[in-house]
Amino acid sequence: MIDLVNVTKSYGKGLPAVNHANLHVDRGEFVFVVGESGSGKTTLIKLLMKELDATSGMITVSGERLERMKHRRVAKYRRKLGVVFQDFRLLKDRNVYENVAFAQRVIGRPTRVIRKRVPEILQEVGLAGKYRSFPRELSGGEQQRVALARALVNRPDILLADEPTGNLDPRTSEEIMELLEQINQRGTTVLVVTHNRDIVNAMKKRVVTMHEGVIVSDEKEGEYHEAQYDLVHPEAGI
Amino acid sequence: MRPSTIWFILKQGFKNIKRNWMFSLASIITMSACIFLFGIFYSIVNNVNNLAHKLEAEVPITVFFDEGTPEEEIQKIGELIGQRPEVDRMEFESADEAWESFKKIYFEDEDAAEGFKDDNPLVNSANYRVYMKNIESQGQLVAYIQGLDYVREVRQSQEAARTLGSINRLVSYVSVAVIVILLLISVFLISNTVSVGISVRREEIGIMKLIGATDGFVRSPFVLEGILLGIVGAAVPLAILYFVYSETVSYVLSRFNMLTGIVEFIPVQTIYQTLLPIGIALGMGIGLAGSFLTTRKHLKV
Ligand SMILES: Nc1ncnc2c1ncn2[C@@H]1O[C@H](COP(=O)(O)OP(=O)(O)OP(=O)(O)O)[C@@H](O)[C@H]1O
Ligand SMILES: [Mg+2]
Repeated sequence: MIDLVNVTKSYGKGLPAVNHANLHVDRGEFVFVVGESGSGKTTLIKLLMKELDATSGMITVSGERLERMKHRRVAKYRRKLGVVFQDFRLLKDRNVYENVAFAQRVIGRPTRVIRKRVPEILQEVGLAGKYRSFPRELSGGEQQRVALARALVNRPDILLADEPTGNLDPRTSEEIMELLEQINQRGTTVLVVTHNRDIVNAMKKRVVTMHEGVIVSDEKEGEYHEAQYDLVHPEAGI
Repeated sequence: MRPSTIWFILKQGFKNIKRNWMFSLASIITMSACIFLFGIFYSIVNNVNNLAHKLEAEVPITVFFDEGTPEEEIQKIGELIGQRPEVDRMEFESADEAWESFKKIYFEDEDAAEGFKDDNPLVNSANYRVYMKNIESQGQLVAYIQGLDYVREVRQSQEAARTLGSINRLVSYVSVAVIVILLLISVFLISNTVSVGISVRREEIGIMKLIGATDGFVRSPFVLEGILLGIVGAAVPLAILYFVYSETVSYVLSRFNMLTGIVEFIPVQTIYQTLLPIGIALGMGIGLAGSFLTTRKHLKV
């Protein structure tokens, strides 16, 4: 489903944000990506959704080679993905309902479908009753759920979630993670970036750890190890 | 595209205009000025043209022949002239016919003319009256006819018609220049309006793209905004001009009533049969050009 071969992304001078990363994720897998702040997790997600282009290396997602993809194809490609952004990226002048419906309008779903599907997904993320609120009237956690609902509303093949529980209390975080697990069980490939050690350790999923742009470990039923990779620098051009 | 998608895009387009109303208003006003002036020039040029055509139809060139030119030669010359592309139609008037019409005009008393009965004083006045399609080619045609054998004299039509033709050309040039300048300003202003709209919504556009909106979907509300501005910017001045035109015509005709019968204005309805579609198309074109160029430039995400 997702295949990275020797992928490097540099923003300019200095250490690359992603450094010779190799990662393979199968269809239907659930993967946590962990690592300290600045280790390149968000950059990895941006590469996967082709918001950024890799400096070198090869990225393949559901059979499509991203570095070769024509500009015109990108929109269609992104419709296979659901993305929860670390900074939510909600539309400030639209209410909750419109923010989620927007993802469906963009791909040309008829209004009839939107009317049915949007309340359904809002219910699922626990936002029933907040349809008319605007992002600024919501708490961080609520905004995060709107972002999640928007990512899921089109039933994507792949869900990329950057800190989907960053602003949530432990209980709600667990609820959201359960939701992600359910979605995964229905067949969606899920890749979650998180700092939430308790959840990672409790869920016994695959854990990919990044450090200074390098994937330093990749374990099945892994755990969240705190920074202990300071000295590990594979062949990367440093 | 689904109707619901089209509807959504339409609403976005209106929203853009509302959010950005100061710029929208500015571009509508410039556009209105442009199309208003266009309409005025269009009306003037058409009316002057109309007048010139009437004069052309009424004022022929007259061709006379040498004394004793045989009938066949006259006929041959007639055929040669008739083949010229400048010629619209021509009439032949024999010496007798010329005498008849002369009598009618100058001798009220039939008997006074009787004295000349068998001795037509206008014996050499057989002539062709040549009507031209276009008054401007008169000089050319006259030169040609004068070069023919047996032609004694070519009498040209009045200077007035020709002057009118050149006035019309001058008006056309000036109006084309002014309209082109205003057109460019309008395109520029529309483009400005749209790009302000785009920069205000840059973040939103980025989000749309990241959740899979095509370039076309992102662009169309802006292009639509431009077209809507264009239509409004054309409809307003055209409506005003309709009123102004009718008022002017009736004012001029009542104020200078000696003009009645000489100067004939094209009725406003006739002018608008062409001016309305041209004006609206012009407005839409300006709007489309301004917004399309801008979205192409700014919406490469
Ligand atoms: N647009 C950018 N221009 C230049 N450098 C950038 C840019 N975005 C990120 N970086 C750098 O790339 C590195 C990785 O950033 P990234 O956002 O991927 O980290 P992260 O793992 O997501 O961190 P966090 O956990 O804080 O979200 C950082 O050193 C950051 O400063
Ligand atoms: Mg990040």
